[in-house]
Amino acid sequence: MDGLREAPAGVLGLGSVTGSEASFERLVVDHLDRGYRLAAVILGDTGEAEEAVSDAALLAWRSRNGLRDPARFDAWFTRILVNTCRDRLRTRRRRPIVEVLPSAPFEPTEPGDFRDLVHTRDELGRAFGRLSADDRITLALRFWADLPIESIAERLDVPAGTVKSRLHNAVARLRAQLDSPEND
Amino acid sequence: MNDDTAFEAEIRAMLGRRDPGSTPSHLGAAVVERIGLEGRRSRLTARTRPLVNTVAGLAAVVVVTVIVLGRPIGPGSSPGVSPAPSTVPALVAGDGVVAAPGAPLLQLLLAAGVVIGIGVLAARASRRIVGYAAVTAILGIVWVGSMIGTSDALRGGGGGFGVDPFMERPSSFSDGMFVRADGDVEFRILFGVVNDSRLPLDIVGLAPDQANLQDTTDTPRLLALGYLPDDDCCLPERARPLSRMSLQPGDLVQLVVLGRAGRCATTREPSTGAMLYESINLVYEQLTILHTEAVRLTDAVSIQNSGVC
Repeated sequence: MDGLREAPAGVLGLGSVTGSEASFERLVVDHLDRGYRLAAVILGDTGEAEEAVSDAALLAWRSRNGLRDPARFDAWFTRILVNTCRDRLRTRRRRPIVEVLPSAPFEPTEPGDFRDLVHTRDELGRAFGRLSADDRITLALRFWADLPIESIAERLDVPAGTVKSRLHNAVARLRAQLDSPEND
Repeated sequence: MNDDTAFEAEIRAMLGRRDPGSTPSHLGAAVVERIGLEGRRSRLTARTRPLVNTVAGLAAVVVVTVIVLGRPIGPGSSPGVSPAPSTVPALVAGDGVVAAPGAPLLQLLLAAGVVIGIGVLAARASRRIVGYAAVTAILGIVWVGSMIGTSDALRGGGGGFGVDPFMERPSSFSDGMFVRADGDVEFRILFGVVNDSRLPLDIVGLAPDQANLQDTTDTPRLLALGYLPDDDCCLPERARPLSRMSLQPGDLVQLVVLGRAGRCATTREPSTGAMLYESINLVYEQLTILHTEAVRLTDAVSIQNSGVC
């Protein structure tokens, strides 16, 4: 999966984060690509993902003095980004918008009837769009970014047990969304 | 492949389809520009913050000092303090009469500046406790401001009340305290005033709208404001000129207004009517702001009018 990976902090000049605004700026820019794609996966809208990652970069810049361990920049920035996405999703619930999924080549994961698989694929995307912000973020970090439980816990600032619980419940809710009458 | 594994694979595939794959080329430049703008703004703020902090701190010190000490800069006296008898000056026309207070623009600007400064500091503070402290400070300023904006800090009543010279109420009147005056003679009104607010204040003097209001000498007018120390209680003829007097919350002072009855004043009955004073307009200062308040008298002070003078 070409998702979010643990950043190789040691090769990015993190030691100069607190001392140089330029190196901090470069560090943020280096994380934009992964951040933008994660935001797009969570939000389902590339335009909104651009805004979210831009907002997160600005927030990171403003609170850069709060980064005590430069080696944790990736986890720290991802936490800011998912919080920004969470805020946007919650705002969106109050002001519903239509989620536009990017077009992508279809690759069936299981052998079977083509039309059934297309139907399932669309249903799954719509069901994901109906999940809560926390469920979306947890699923994205686990199944798109392929992060281990401990890394997700660090990025969400919650215990690992909570991540496991959220993950289990998110998958269950996703199944339940697929089975709900709205999909019929 | 079991059901859970298959479902996870579907989730992965679905999330993969949501991945746009690459970042728009303009995003990096846009973020760098935004961060650069923020950096310039924060550097400007960093340069001006010490100045804002100093101004806000000085303003806070001034406000606290005024509240604690309860008296603005300038000479003043307190109720109950009496100078030596040999130095007691007589109350004459013009004593204790002050100019009409203007709008407190400077104080309003200062208060607005302090509130804005604290708000800016709170907005830029990274620690939550600073935000709470700022909100508390702003609420405190608003609370103090709401009290000094009222014109009911002074309450008439308490202590003695009377007029000199006094005459029995004429039979044609049902209420009022009457001045015995035939023609344009001097009279004095003795009344008590209490600081009924929760902040100290200074009584500054008699408002000009009552003092020397009329050009004519036909009608009554007020000429001067004095006070009585505690040991001269209730003898209006011993009033001293009032320059400025500090009153702590709950303090009482005996004031004396000197007036003239006007050429139409009469003691004879039946009269054509009476001129009366139901209140005395006093100017006071609280937290450097001047206010005028009509302090209601215990009873209306009346002067019979002959109608022919």
